[in-house]
Amino acid sequence: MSMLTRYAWRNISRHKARSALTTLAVVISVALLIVGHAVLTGLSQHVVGEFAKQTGDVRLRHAEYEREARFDPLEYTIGGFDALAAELAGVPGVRAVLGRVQFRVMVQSTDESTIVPESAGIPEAELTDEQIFGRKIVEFAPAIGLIPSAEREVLRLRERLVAGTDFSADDAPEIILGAELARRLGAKAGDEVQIVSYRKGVADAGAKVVGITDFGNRIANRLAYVPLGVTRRLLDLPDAVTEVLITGPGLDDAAKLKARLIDSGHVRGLEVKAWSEIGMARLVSTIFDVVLTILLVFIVTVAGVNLLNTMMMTVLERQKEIGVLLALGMKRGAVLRVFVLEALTFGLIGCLLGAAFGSWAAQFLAEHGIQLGEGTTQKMLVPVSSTVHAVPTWGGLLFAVGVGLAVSVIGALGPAIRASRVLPIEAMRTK
Amino acid sequence: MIRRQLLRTAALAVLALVSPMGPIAAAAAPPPTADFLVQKMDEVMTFKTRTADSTLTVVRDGKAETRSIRIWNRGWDDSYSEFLSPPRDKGVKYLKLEKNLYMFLPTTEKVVKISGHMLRQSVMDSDFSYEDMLEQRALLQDYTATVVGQEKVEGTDCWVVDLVAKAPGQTYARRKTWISKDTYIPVKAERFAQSGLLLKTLTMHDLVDVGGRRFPSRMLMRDAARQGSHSELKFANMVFDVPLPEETFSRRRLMKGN
Repeated sequence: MSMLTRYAWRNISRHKARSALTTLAVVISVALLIVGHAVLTGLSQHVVGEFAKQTGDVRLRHAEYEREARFDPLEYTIGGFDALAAELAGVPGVRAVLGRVQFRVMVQSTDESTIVPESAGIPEAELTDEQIFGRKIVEFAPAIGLIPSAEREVLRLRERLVAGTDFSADDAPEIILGAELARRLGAKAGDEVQIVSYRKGVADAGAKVVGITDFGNRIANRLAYVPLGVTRRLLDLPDAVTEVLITGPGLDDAAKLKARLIDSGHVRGLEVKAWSEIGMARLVSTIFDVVLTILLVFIVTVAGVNLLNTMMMTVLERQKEIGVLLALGMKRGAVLRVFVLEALTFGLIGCLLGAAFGSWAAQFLAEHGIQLGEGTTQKMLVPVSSTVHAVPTWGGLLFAVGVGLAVSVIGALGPAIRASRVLPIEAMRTK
Repeated sequence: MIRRQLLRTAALAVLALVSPMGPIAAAAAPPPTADFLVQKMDEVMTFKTRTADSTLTVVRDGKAETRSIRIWNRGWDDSYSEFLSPPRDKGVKYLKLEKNLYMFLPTTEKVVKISGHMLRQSVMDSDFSYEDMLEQRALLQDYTATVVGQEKVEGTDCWVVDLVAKAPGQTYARRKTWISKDTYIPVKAERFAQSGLLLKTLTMHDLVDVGGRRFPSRMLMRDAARQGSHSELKFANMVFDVPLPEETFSRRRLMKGN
C-alpha cells in the first residue's frame, strides 16, 4: 500500500500543471456549491421571513374572515383584543402578540394654493372645483392599522424608511406611506394628508406623513400604515382587530406554538393558522422550495460534470501508462487503487481550498449582500428586498465537501475501471 | 224590422253594462305606451324643490342603526343633505350638483369629491350606493322602455315596465319597474346587472298627501349582495315647491361646512 501511495504521489507531483488544473476544478466546484447553497438559503430565509412579517408565526382571524377576505370584511373582526392579547401573552412560547386591522382607505392630499378667495368677487359658477376646494390628489390604497411599538421587532418599518421617521407614538395622528403611494400623492415626509375610510360609513382623520418606506416591491410600496388607535376611531372598531399575529421561538416551531395556543383554549372559535398553512405563504414557499432545489441540482450538476470531465481526462490520457503497469505485472485492483488515491488527494486538497475560498466568498456575500435588481423584485407577491444576503451554514459546507470528494472519486473510478480492463498491448498502443 | 234591431242593440248595451265581462272588455283596451308610463312616473316623482327631515335606518343581521338627515332638493339634479345624528356622523354634508357629488367631513373640515370606484360604495353603510344618489330621473334618455305586463304589488294594480339601457356604462343594465295604475308612482323597482343578476330592489310605501300631491314617505332598498340587510329611508315634514335660496346648493357653502 505504501508503494502505491508513493507511486500515486509521484504521479501527482510529476504532472504539476495537470494536477493543479484538476485540483482547481475541485476548488471551483466546491466553492461554487458553498456560495450557491448560502445564497439560496439566504433568499429562502428572506422570503419566508418577509412572509412571517405579514402573518406572524401563527395568525388568528375571525372564522368567517377568510371567505370574504378580498372585500376586507370589517364585520368579521376579533373583539376584546386587549384582553385576548393579555391571555395569549401567558401561553408558553409566545414572544409577542400583535393586533392589526387590514382595511382600504382613501388618502387625499390638498394643495390649497389654487383656492380663489371669495374676496376676489368671482361668481361661484365661473370657478372650477380646484379653485373652490383646492387641488386634490386622491389615491385609494390598502392600509394596515398596527401598534407601532409592538411592530418594531416584527414588521420593522424603520429598516425600510427612505425618508422621515418611524411613528412617534402608538396613537399619534400619523401615517407612513409606501414609496409608490407617496409618489402618486406627491406627498413628502412632514406633509398633512386626509385619510378617509368609506367601508363602514364614511369617516376621516387628518394625519401627518412621518415616513416613506421602500420595500423594492410594487405591492408593498402602495401600502399605507396607520397607528391602530387612529384606525379604530376611523373605522369605529373599539377594541377590535381583523387579525392577531403571534410570534414565538422561531418559524420552525410555528406548528408547536399553534398547538399550544389551541390547547390554551383562548383561541376557541377563531381561525388559527401557522404561517406555513396560510394560502399565499404555502404557495410561495412551495414554489421557492422547488425553484431552490432545481437551482441546487443545476449547480451540483455543473460542478459535478466539470469535475467528472477533468478526472476522466486525467485517467484517459494515461492509458499507455496503465498498459505498461499491467504489462509489468501490476494487478488491476492495484491500478484502480492508485487512481482512487490520486483522486482522493485531488479531492481532499481541492475540497479544503474550495471550502476555505467558498466560505470566505459566502461570508462576504452575507455581509454585503447581492443586488437582485429592482426589476426582479418589483412584481413579486411578497415584498422581497432587492438586496439578498447569503446565509452560510455548516450543512452547506459539509454538503459541498461531500459532493466534491464523492464526484472526484466517482469521476476517476469509472475511466480507471475501463482502462484497467483493456489488454496491456492495446493500452500501450494508445497515442 | 228596425224596431227589432233597436231592441237587440239596447239589450246588448244593457248586457254590456251589467255583465261581468264589462271590466274584461275595458282591460282589453290597448295599454298605455311604456314611454307614456315612464313620463307620467317622472312627472309625479319630480318637483321643483323639496325640503324634508329624513331618517335612514340600516338593518343588518338584525341590528338597526338610524341616522337623521335634513334634506334640501332642487328637482332631481341638485340636493344638499346634512347628517344630524348619531354623533359620529353629525356634521357630514353631501352636495349633489347634477352628476357631481361632494362630501364635507367635519373632522378635518375638508371636502371630498366622490368619484371613481368610490361611487359604488354604500352611503353610510346602507344598501344605497353613491351611484343611486347620483341617479338622474329622465330614464327615457338612457333606457328603452317596454310594457311587459300588469301585476298587483301589495294590493296596488301596476303596469310592469321593463327598461333596458340603450348603451353600456349605465349603473344598471336593466330595470324592471312596477308603476301604479292609479298614481303612477313606481311602487317597486328591480335593478339588474348586464348578466341578468338582480342587484337591488327598491320599494316605495306610505303615500302621503303634501301640498296637493301624493308622494311616498318611505323607501326600502335591498342590496342583493348584502345578505340579511335592508335600508329604509323615511321622510317627514316634506314641503314641496317652495323657493330655496341659490346658496343652498353652493360649493362654497359646503366648503365652509355651513
